[in-house]
Amino acid sequence: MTPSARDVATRGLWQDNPALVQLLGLCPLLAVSNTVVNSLGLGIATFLVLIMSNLVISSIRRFLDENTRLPAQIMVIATFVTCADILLQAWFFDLHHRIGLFVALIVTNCALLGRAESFARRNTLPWAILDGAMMGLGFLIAIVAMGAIREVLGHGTLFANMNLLFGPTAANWTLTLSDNGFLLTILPPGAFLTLGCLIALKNLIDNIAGKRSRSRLETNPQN
Amino acid sequence: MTPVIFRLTVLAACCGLLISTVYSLSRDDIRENRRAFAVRQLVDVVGDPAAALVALDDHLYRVEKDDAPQGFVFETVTREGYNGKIELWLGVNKDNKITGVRVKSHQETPGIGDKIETGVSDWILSFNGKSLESPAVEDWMVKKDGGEFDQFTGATITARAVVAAVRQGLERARKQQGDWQVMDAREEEQ
Repeated sequence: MTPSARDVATRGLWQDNPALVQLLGLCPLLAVSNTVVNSLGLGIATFLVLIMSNLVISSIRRFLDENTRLPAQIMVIATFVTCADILLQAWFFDLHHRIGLFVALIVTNCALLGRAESFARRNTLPWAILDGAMMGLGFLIAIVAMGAIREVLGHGTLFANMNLLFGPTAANWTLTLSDNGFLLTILPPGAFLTLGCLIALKNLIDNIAGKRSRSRLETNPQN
Repeated sequence: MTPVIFRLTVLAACCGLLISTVYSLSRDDIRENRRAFAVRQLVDVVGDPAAALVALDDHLYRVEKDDAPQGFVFETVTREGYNGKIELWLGVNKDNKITGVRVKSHQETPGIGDKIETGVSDWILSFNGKSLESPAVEDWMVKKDGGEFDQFTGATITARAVVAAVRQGLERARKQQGDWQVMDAREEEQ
């Protein structure tokens, strides 16, 4: 059942988007997505960890049996999360100050174990890497979209403090749209509301696209 | 069973090896980052790069210039924040006036409570030059509670905790400045 590359890509980015459809990894998605820079930092970390864990789990898949695969997968994921945490402290110390708590929690992001369990351990290396990259990118796009919406509505700015990630040259990337923010969007309930709106938007687009091509709807009834 | 255990052991060893390699490669960078961060904060709190800092213990420094004490930098901690404890560096001069306040560590909500960091907003600078006389002790509160200090949207609790912690720090400094003046420097060098 080797899928096509196009299939893997659409699934990760849209059809089975880990954040908007599978609703995996909600803890970091909801907690960190209050500004673009925080979202981007955590999104990139998750993206890289997912690719690396998929890569390793796919390459060792022949050595694992039913009893050992879960501990082995979690061990691999935890290893890369720990490495990401260490490297973040070494390279982006100030950003680590802000999102460090949630970097360690990437290990509990079910999107990672989910991909390891349902894809990487059943497929060859290139496919596993592609799947990790596409799922990671899908998560990255979703969390950055949440961050952008919440930062614009809550703080009235966009791309504030990007120097934490891109160095001093990025310090003046901030777009100030308004001096007043709508507080609710940066508080935890705002995270749920924003996510709900994004999911609704995605479903709306799917519905419109589905109506346009009825044939596609019939071959793919669960959507 | 043996081969299964063996495989897991090998995998665990590889994982451990990878982590320790990454860690030993970045250990110096991380230590340097931490040190630079701590030094940057202490210098900011003193507000005078030419002054020397004499460590009296882990949480207390005497600011000296030409061997004469100019003031003190000490740590003050509050648990009244939104999440966990907030550790602050507080700098005062001989007249018990604030030369600077910086957050040493905190776990307030990113994007909301972290406005107490200088990297995020200038709020913490509003303590500079304040003392227990100005504003009066009863005005050492956020505006929402009828005091002198701005709170920031969404994190009144954080601002309230920091204002109270700074006031308590000043009270402590007023009581103990005399002892700190004559205290011996810490013996061991770091």
